[in-house]
Amino acid sequence: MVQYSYFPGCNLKTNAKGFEKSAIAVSKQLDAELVEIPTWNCCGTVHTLASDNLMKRIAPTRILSRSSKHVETLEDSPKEVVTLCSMCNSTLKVVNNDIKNDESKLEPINFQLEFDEEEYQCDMEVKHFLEILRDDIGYEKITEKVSKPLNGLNVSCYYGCMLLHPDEAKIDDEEMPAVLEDLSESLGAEIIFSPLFKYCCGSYHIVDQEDIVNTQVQKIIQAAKKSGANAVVVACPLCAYNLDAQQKSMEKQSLDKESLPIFYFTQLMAIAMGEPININHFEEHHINPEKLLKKLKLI
Amino acid sequence: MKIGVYVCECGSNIASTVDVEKIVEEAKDLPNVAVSRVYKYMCSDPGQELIKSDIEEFELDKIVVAACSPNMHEATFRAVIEDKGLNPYVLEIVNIREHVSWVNSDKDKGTEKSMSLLAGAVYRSALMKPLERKKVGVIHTALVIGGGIAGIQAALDIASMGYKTTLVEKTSSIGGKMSQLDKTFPTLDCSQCILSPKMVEVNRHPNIKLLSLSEVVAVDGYVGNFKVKIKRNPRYVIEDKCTLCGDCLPVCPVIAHDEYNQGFSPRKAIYISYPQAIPASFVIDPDDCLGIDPLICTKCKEACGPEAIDFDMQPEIIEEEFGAIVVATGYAPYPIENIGEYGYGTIHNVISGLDYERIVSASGPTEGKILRPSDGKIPETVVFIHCAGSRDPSKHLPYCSKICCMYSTKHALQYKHIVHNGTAINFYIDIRTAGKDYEEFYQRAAEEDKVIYIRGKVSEVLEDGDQILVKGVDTLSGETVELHADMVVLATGITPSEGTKEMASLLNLAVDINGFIKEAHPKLKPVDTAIAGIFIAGTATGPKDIPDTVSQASGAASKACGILSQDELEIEATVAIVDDSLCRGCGMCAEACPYSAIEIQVMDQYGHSTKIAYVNEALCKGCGSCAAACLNGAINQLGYTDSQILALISVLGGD
Amino acid sequence: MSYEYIKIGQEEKDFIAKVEEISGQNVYSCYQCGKCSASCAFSYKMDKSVNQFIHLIQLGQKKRILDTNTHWICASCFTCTVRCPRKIDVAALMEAIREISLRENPEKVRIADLPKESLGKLPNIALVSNFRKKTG
Repeated sequence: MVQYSYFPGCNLKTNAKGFEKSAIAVSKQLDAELVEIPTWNCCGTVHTLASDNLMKRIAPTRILSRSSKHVETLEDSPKEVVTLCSMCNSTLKVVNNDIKNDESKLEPINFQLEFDEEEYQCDMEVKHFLEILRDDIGYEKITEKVSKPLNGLNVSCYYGCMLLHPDEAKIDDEEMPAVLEDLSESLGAEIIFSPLFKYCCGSYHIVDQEDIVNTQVQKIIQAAKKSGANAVVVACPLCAYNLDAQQKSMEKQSLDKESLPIFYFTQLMAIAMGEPININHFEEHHINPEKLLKKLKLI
Repeated sequence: MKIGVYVCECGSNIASTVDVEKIVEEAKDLPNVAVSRVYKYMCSDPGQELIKSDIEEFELDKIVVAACSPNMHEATFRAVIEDKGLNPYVLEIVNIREHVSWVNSDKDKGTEKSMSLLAGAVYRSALMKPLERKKVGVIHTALVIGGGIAGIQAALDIASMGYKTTLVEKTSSIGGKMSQLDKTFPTLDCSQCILSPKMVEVNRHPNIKLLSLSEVVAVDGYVGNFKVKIKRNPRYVIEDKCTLCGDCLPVCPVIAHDEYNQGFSPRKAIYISYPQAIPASFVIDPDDCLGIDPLICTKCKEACGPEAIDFDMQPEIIEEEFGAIVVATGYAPYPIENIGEYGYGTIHNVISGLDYERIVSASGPTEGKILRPSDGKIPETVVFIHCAGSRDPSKHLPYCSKICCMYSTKHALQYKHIVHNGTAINFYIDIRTAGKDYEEFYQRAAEEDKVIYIRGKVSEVLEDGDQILVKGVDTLSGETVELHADMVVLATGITPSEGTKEMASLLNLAVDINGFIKEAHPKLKPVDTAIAGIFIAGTATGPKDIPDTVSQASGAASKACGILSQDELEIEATVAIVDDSLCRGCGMCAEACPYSAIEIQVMDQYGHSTKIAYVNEALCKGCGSCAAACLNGAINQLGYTDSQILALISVLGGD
Repeated sequence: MSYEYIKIGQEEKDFIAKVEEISGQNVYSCYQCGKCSASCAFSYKMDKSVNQFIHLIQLGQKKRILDTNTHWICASCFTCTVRCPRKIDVAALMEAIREISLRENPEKVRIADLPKESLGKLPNIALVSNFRKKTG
């Protein structure tokens, strides 16, 4: 069993429990167990773009250094820290890249971490779980473990921004990514192409400028529906919340009850690989996916 | 020995920061100096006359001129002294303008440095010897590599001046990219109509030998005497016998993509690119044909009346000699498969500029009707995107390809002529219309043909059902523009062709950072290369339109004839020479030479075979790299020998 | 009598220098092609489009820039950065303006004013990233 050092990030413990639980369960099935770093802090997304403020880079560096120590206690583990949340992935990758290439940034940060003996040695790589599935495990192995192919599920893959931007953080080609599509296909689902597959959902504007998110979600869901999708698969907890919660509030305002349920990719994997349904925590979703799954006789 | 020293004031250019009177006085005390003068403008006629009369009066045998850079007037003064019977190589130029006056504002320091340089030059001058310019013979034939419009024009010009020319073309027909165009801007002349007469003339010209399906594979030698190996690929059809009757076409069972029509239409394994092709003969593609090794199908051979088909043709290599070479290997359009935000070439209705030329051409896959590639319908809205993959240092071509604004305007104009009620929208960043009548053409497209111009670069195009979603912006009003188009044409730029890259490495030509062949001087020598005898023309050197290409081709032809018209060529005398007794054949000089002018040869000396360096004086440019590299001091550069330079250094050092 | 005119003096040059220092980008590389505005998913809501905003930075017009809402509408999705043909990190320029604004007025979003129940149900990363970008 290969073990990977896993950094959850704050959201996976609160709003996105289903994401984490299903991910850990399927990772065990695929012999690539995700083991959580014992103590960690919030990565402080979205990473800072100001080049004159190093304070905001300390938190991600601490995570990398703690993961480096954690890896030594694991079985057969590469020097990689694996994330599920796209925003954590982007932040950690960009900061890692930044300080690896610039000694003048690394020194002051390490000075701050010295007190707790947590200096970062620039020896870690950051990977998103989708990259592990694609590169280390391979889709064939996943298909072998599928006991319930997701027939009838016409899924639109929504990438959001952080999986593909910026260049240092992307996990696939930014104009024509295929990683979510390949994964969904290996689970037996039907893929629907929507032209708004990476149209930003509105991200953090949900806090104080909800109307912006409203417009974005309307456009994204409309495009997916027009192309024939009956579900959307995402990899980021914030995108999931935005698409999910906004559709619910749109339902209340309009007569359109045809909302699309939002799935995390690990939840789809969990359903296809025969994991018990309750690890997906569907009760936390605003649009209940169980209705669609029951209709397609997948549960 | 009598040395004449002349110091130039160059108006105030030199005189304001160097005390010229003082150095002239001090020079009089240097050994062997017979006369030392100052003059306001040495390069002027009276200045030159002054030197000439002094040579006669004082019987001078060495001249030192302290003035501007030798780049400017070394040739002038050499001619002056040669006129009076002196060898041109006993002239020494001291640069007290670019090296002293222009980089220094302190008059005392300037004067001190000038004096030091002048004294060093006088001491060196004492050691300078007269040198002979060698001569080489010239072969009076020219080689033109590349059969596009540039190569065709160059070949015609050289041939019409009376010299035999060989034109080598890689594909089965000459004509190049221009034969694929429909109409040319700004006159909207039919491209094929203006090109074919030239192609036919190439075919029938008694001085031109056309070698199609041929490639240059090796070039040796030097200016006036190039030895070239040309590989002739088999056509499998005997050119002289083929009558273009076309009886082979219906019986051939193989269907392939037609490259001439950018893959939009089918062709057989035996085909002719287009009816006006020269040489006027069919050709068989060995990758598609089923009759060439192994012999499975012989239907065309059976159908051929004139018995022109020969499946047993083999490639052959011929060797020929030429006096001058013109490289006109052309361009390749930037592939749309590289542009991610415009679909990586996977969206059917997103096509490149050259694809569009074939669609709109009357001899193309749609016979001139504008139809979408995906379903053959007439597109009601067509979007033309300028600068697709150009002016983009982050991922694509950093430079501007000059012709895309014009050809996109032409495309939009043609679309509106054919589809009267259609909408043509051009998204641009800048409209570049620098040629003759180009601005008027652009004005016509907007005013008369109602082409819509929106200033803003399109950020992405996506498939949306059977239309294409185009996301652009109008920077002039600050609004984003989103629209659905039926077809999108990407105006892609110009990159060096495969042939250009091959020839550049074969001939050791310098290329710039984008892969285009470098001219000897970007302003003043646009058709010469660093290698004497090799000239360049057309888009192999950079993006340009057809008028510029033809001009450049004629220029290259005229330069080539400048060599061919002479029976002998003089080589610069300041070449490297090897002292056999000191050379140990280590080869460091050969490695150091940027012009591949040095060879290590095995010679028989006193009964032993030893390796000695041999300098090809015609290729040697006198750069001195070999002299610097030689550990034994066995190779020296004439005119700049080690002893001369050491004399200069010891004076500068204060001895 | 007051009329608007573009003034380009020392103040403006200092502002440009500050923006370049914080963002690490050369703002003069921009040739106003507009691809950033075309790529931006939120440009319809900005009162000055992204490329117009960058142009104002090139002219050093601090007051005009801080009066727009462009940098607050920006969601840091980086699409502009990825698409820019001159390889300018446009998102970094937006961040630099936000930083300049927040270093003078730290509370674009007043956390105390947010309704309590929303703080409970919103996902953590929304709150974290929002406060990252909109508070000093």
